[in-house]
Amino acid sequence: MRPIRAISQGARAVIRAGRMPLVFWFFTLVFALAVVLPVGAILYGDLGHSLYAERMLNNFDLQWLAEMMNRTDGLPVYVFPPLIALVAVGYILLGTFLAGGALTVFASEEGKYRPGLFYEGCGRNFWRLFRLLLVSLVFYGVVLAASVALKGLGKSVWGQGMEERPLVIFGWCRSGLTVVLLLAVNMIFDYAKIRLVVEDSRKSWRAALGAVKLVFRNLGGTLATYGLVALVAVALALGYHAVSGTIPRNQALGMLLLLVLQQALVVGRIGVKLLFFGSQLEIYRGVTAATAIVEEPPALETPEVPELPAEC
Amino acid sequence: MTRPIWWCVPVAMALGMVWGGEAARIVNYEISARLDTKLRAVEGHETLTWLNDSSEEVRELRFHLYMNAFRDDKSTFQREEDGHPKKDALGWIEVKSLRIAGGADLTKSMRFLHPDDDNAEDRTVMAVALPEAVKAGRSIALEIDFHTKLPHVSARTGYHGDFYMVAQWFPKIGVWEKAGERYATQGQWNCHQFHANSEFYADFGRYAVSLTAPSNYVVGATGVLENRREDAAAKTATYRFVQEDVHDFAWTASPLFQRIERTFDPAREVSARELADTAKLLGLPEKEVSLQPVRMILLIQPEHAAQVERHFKALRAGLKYFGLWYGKYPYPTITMVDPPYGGGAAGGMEYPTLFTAGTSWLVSERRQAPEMVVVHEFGHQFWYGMVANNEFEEAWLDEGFNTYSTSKILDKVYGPQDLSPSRWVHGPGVNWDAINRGAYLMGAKTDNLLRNAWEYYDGSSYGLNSYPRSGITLRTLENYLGEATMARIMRTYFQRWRYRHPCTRDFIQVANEVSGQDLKWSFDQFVYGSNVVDYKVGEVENREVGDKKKQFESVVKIRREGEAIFPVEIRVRFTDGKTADRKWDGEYRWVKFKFTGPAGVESVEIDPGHKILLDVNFANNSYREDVAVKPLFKWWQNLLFWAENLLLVAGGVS
Repeated sequence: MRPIRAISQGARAVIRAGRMPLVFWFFTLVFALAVVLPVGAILYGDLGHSLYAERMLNNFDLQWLAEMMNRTDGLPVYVFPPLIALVAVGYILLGTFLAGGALTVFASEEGKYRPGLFYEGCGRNFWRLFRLLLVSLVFYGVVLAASVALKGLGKSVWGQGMEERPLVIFGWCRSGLTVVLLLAVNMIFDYAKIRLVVEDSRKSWRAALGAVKLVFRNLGGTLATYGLVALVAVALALGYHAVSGTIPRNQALGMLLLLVLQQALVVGRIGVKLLFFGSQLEIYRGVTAATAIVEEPPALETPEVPELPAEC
Repeated sequence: MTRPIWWCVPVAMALGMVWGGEAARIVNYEISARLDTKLRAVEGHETLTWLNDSSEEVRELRFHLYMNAFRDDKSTFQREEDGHPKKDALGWIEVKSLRIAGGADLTKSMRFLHPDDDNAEDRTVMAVALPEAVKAGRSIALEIDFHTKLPHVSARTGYHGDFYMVAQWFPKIGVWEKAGERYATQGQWNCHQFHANSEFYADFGRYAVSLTAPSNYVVGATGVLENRREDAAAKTATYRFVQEDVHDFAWTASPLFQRIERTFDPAREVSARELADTAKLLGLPEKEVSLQPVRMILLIQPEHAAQVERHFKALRAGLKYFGLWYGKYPYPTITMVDPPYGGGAAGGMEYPTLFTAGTSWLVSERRQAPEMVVVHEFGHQFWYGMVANNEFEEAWLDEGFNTYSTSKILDKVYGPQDLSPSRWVHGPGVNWDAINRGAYLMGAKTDNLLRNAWEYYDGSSYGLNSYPRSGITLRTLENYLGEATMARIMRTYFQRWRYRHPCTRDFIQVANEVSGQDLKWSFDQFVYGSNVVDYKVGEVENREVGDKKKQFESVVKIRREGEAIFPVEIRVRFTDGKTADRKWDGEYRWVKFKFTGPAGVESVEIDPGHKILLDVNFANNSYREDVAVKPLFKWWQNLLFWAENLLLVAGGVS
């Protein structure tokens, strides 16, 4: 299947799924609030009735952070990073849970979001997707370890020298390669998730290795699909920056507009995530259907016997 | 057998050592040194003539042998650093012979002292007993042969690749403090060991140094290059540098340096208006604040060639404003050294008429990276170079004064700094008062501002107290006294104490004299103490009174939460837009103000101009009746947005 066709079908699937992005957004909002509300409470307690807040309306004053650290003996450092890490882990598990539902909806015949179907898919697929998540961590770990090893290599080659430039350029290349490889792992494991859900399989390693095989056998299509959807995400971000820059940020109406725009972008980003699933599901279906056709035993045909000339 | 040393006096007089120039020329160094790039070492011979300008006789001489800090992991420096240098990173200095010129060999009487701790393994201070005392007003000349093995660059000295920053490299005599000088009640040596958190202290004099290095090396050093002689057969070149009225000598060599020269021309750099304004501010005739041309030399790494003009612009700013505010830079040259990548430990350090800067390949101008270092290290020509306080014992007098001065220059010339980590991302602009105050708040109560450098709680407390806290202490004093008074205090202090060794007491004396106030309360609390300032709006009450005409009786209570006392201004704003200002000496724990009028209190603010940078809590300095909805909503929505986006990134793996 061609990437454009896969993406357009994926987009249709996301649209058909109706409220599903909003479900994702709701949970994202709840998890974000778990971090934001305590910070908001501190801000209110410290600055709610202070003129200092008004002075910081245009430009946040980093001195306030230093004051806060001084007053609390650095308590935020001990509290917030663990809290953020905890929320992030929770959100990853939530994402694993919801991914099962989203793929179930996309893979269903009607493709429409129904809470029963969605949450049944979430529950049925959670543990297999969780196992797959653990497998994916091995792959991500290998990429990061390779990146660290490359850094060490760069340091051993140029680190003792008197020029910074080669090491910086090497660092850029290394970072670029690391990002590409992380995205590749991300893409491969999208296909592995699809495979587990579509085939109703529990074999995570097999799904992962199968996804590797699938991606490499259809490198052009899978990469192009992933890249084009990623471009949609970039376009969304650029659009947000272009529009948000025109909104007056210190006026009440502007703040409200910005809030709406920001949340729209978050929903848009969730939509892109679902678009990845939808488009890649179409690619997966196209590839597996083609494989099935190829693997069908050839039909026995009776060779046509040329008619012999009547007269020899 | 000992020999009389009376003959040294006419020699010293001939050398113009006794108040010959502006400085008391206590020392006269004639050094010849050869850089051995294979051994990473310097072979040197030093003729030191030292003048005893006290009224007491001196029976022993003390020397700094700083390079021995790097000889093993047992030195005080390494113990304090918890350093474990590798074998190829070690450095040391060996005094091969020491004798009185034309007289006794004192080599065998050399011994190591450890006046600051009980570390018998430390060899950074050497004492030599003299066969005969140096009488008051007399001199002694010594001949010293030494071998210095340079460490891999550490604590601003050493080598990296083909780059050599040769500092603290020769036997340097300590300071014999006369009775009445600084805190001395009788003549005494001030010669501290080399510590992890300390710098230097030495006497003024003349340095004439001949340096031999491979001829393909570019060499820069303290002072003026008198001549360069090349030895084609040996493929070496010998440079002779001379400088008077300095208290140290450092040099650098590398085949990679690009040497660029410019001239600081006051006629072009300082407008007539600036000159007039400065003269008016200081209450001086324009002639007295005029500057003189200076030859600026930059030794820069090839990969930093694109930043040449940035370095010169920063140096021009330093020469201009330090010159206008405190007094002209009196030396004919100033040399900036740009260490290579990997040699960063040599960067950001001051020596007389030479300093090391430091930058990286693609650093944004908004970060003020080489700019800040250039202005700061140049500033040390004033606060350390000329006003030569004891950096071991009173680091705030150089680092703090310099932080105060350079912060003002950087804000004036470059504006707020962008602290964003990447050149491609813009962050909020932050001025240097905010940066210094933010740093101070990270450990406001850890130590008194003033301590011996090696006696702070830790290295970070030494840094925090000596630099940013000192900087904002002086800025707070400026805000309290007014710009003109502070400018006159600083100029008077510089003019009075240049080429001498002042102490904190001397600065306080100048501040009291120029301001016409007794500022003991301020220095006692903020220099000799660690109490913090924190004033808070306690309560605000509005009560409606009067039957016919609507009247309000309002009570405002201000509290002192910190232990430190500072006079404060209070601004009260009423709901009808009117304001009332009050002053409070800030002494008792609280104060109450009553207001009666047609409008109630809308807001109260202590120190509305944010003049007291030492106040550790600006947030509680004010109170408003209504809630700050807009700012809170703005931050809350932005936080939410960032949190959601971060979660989406993290969730990408699921």
